Amino acid sequence: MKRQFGSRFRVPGLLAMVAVMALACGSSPSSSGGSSTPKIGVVLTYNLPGFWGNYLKYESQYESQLGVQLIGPKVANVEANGNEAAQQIIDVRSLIAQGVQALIINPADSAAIGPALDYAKSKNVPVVTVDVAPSQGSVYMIVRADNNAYGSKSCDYIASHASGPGTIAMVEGDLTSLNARDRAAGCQSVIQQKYPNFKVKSYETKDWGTDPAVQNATTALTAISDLRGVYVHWSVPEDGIIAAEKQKSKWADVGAANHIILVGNDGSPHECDLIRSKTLDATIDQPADKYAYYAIFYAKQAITGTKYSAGQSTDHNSSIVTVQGNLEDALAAPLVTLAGDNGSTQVNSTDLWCNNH
Amino acid sequence: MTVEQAVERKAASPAPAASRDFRLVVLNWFRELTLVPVIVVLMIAGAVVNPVFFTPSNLINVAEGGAALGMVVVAESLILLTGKFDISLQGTFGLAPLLGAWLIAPKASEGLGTEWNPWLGLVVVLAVGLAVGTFNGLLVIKANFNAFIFTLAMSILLTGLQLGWLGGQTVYNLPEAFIYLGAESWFGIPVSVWVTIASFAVAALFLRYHRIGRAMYAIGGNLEAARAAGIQVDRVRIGVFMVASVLAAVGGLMQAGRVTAVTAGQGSNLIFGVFAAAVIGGISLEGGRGRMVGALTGVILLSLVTNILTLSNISSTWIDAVDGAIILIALGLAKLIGTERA
Repeated sequence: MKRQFGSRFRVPGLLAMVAVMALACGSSPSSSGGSSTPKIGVVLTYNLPGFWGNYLKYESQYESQLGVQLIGPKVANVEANGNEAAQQIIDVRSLIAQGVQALIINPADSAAIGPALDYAKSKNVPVVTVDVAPSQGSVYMIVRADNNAYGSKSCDYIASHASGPGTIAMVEGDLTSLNARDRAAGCQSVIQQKYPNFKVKSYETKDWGTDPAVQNATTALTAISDLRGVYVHWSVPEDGIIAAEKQKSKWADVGAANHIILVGNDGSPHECDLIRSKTLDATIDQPADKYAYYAIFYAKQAITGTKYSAGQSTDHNSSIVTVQGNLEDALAAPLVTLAGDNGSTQVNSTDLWCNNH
Repeated sequence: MTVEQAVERKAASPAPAASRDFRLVVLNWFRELTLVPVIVVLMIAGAVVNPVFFTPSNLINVAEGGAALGMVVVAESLILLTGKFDISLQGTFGLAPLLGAWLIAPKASEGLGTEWNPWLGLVVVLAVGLAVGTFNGLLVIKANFNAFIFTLAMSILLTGLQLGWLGGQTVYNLPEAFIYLGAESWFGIPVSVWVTIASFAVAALFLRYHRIGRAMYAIGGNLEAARAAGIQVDRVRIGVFMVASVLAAVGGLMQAGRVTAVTAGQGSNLIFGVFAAAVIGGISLEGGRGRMVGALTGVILLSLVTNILTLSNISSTWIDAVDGAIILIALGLAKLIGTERA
């Protein structure tokens, strides 16, 4: 893990930095005109309501801390099912019509967001995307974690902690999202490269549905005789999977000989509780707080015209990389365990968003 | 004229027609059980696909997977029989357990923090179901709103409330009493399965033997004739909306218990499976025709398909297409044998 920079997420420090920058830019004429707070439009999807619900909480917290005015959040909701991509283009246009100086977008689809990005560019409105890297169009910055690493770290943990060779059941999220595809690919590739004695059986879950995910895991419990572990792409189904194991008398505490390893992704406060109570083995800290913070941070930088370049390292234990022609701040997303061994982060660490809830 | 009524009229006719009556009764049962051969074929396919299929543990998975859906199918079938339908059952399925859970869960797990007694939470779940059902019933039957567009709007409203109420958060850490229905077993079989089977049985017996049950067929078959016959058609139809919404709320509670949480998306897109199960099971969309046993076979079929596709090695992105194709085949078969004949 990239721990050498001491990845302490300290809002005051960053605030100071932002304040200095704001002062530095104060004299230069900016489009915001005078002392009015920058207006930033927000367009989100709701494909992972739990995660984005937390994101929204942090976002409104940082809105005042960073001194911006957020408009939106426009949410392409459940009823727009299947049409979110089209809805987002409409939302972007209406936000620009309202005079926003920058946009924060969580694209429903990496490619279909292209026209919205092109439109924003034609109006000189910079865009920061959160959690999803667009495959078309140009943006100022992508704030995202390395989802491929989520998958590889999760499955590496299962295989290296299993009592013997066997099968890992992977409960995948919606494969129309790049994140689920990256997590799936990351898990598959680490098992193929490092653990020839392990197999991965995948189960896709449409729309990240909780019930189908639990049902798939239940089927796996019955169908796979050498099941060593379950890797679930997000946190919400975990309780149901644990309940199914108990119902089928396949439950044992973490560390017991016949325990089926369970690793999730998100790093929610509930997951951290489960890890402390030896119910869940590990999770990936998907930093909802940092996503919210840096989305606003970069949107502000875009308005003031700060330039970033690939290869630059940041003050928060990450570096700027290039993804499909755009810059991305690839935020650190550590594995969280009870022991905190092998480069993972101990569950009580204050670096984790579950402990800053 | 409904099939049910036709059979009754024949049965009341003089002796020469006796053997014909018998044949009609057999034919009737045959129609209701159209799906049994399909289910047998599916079970053979399941056994071929994966030897695990026929293990008791897996068959329990199939039953449990269909339990919550089954509750909503009972509910929808009752409404369909009276010649109406309710799309918003899926909204009730999600919103009712969410509100109940919100009132009893601690603040740390996205509850309100009031931490009410879980039994009170269960009462809230049922009360939300009852309230939505009463509202739908009154406006569709008394105020004569079109059932399709009215309950569609209600469905969007309820789903929207479910998402907006907690800003998309999942309520978890629910007390045992609240998740009992979905998490516990009696004699090795999940409670949800027992309750769903009991609901089907009670609904079937009620429709067959109770005065109001018979009246529901009459109302769905010919509303004016039923009214002329002295049946209080409006009261029965509103009552059916109320009962159905409560059943949907119980179904939602089952699902919440199974995943031991209520998500903001619970219930979305459920209604398609509900209509599919009811219609391939022989419940007429026009009203007045069909039986609970048929609807039950519809649920079993859908649940089997899901299970077998999961056990098979079909690429997961193709599962929906296969699912749709199998429903179409079942519909075609139903048409061929005659359940969907006017």
